[in-house]
Amino acid sequence: MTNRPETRVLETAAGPGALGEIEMALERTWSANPHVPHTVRMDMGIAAGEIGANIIEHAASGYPVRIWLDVQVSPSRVNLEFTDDGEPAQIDMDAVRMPDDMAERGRGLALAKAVLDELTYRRADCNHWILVSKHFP
Amino acid sequence: METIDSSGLGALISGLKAARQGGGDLRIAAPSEQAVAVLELTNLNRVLKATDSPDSAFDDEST
Repeated sequence: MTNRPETRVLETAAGPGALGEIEMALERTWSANPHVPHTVRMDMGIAAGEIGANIIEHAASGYPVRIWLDVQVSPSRVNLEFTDDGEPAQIDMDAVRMPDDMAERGRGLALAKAVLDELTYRRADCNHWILVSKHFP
Repeated sequence: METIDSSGLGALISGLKAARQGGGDLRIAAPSEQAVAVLELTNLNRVLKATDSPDSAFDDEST
């Protein structure tokens, strides 16, 4: 998980400051890639915030968890990959649906899926969350 | 407030429920572009009405 330093934009602890660090890492990415449209930046910010919050929430109960964020920007896509060494996530991505209007929980993954072209979770040595933006321009 | 996430939406729904139990309503005044997008993506624009300003949130015409 440390073998791709050219794409690595962040390594941090899954704590209360991590969401702000993720946001700042994305801001640096957009500054370095001015061709990425405003709407894609906003959508990736929404999705990255939800996935980051999910990792942090599920890391809260046990041992210290690390988060790595890798970003690849092409002329027409943005790929983000979160890696974390927390417990395996119990996620069936195909079953993710937007809950009822009055639900107070459970929108995070559905919201992330809605703004992305692809959202993939896989468990290998760590948890891997792969976020692929919608195609642009 | 510039951005909102799903946990913030949960808090708004909690507030909406409390307001409705008291015979009131909860409206969103002058949401940011990101907040408008999140409300629409989650369909919550149907239950959390957005208005241009705090003053107009009290107008029945805005519903």
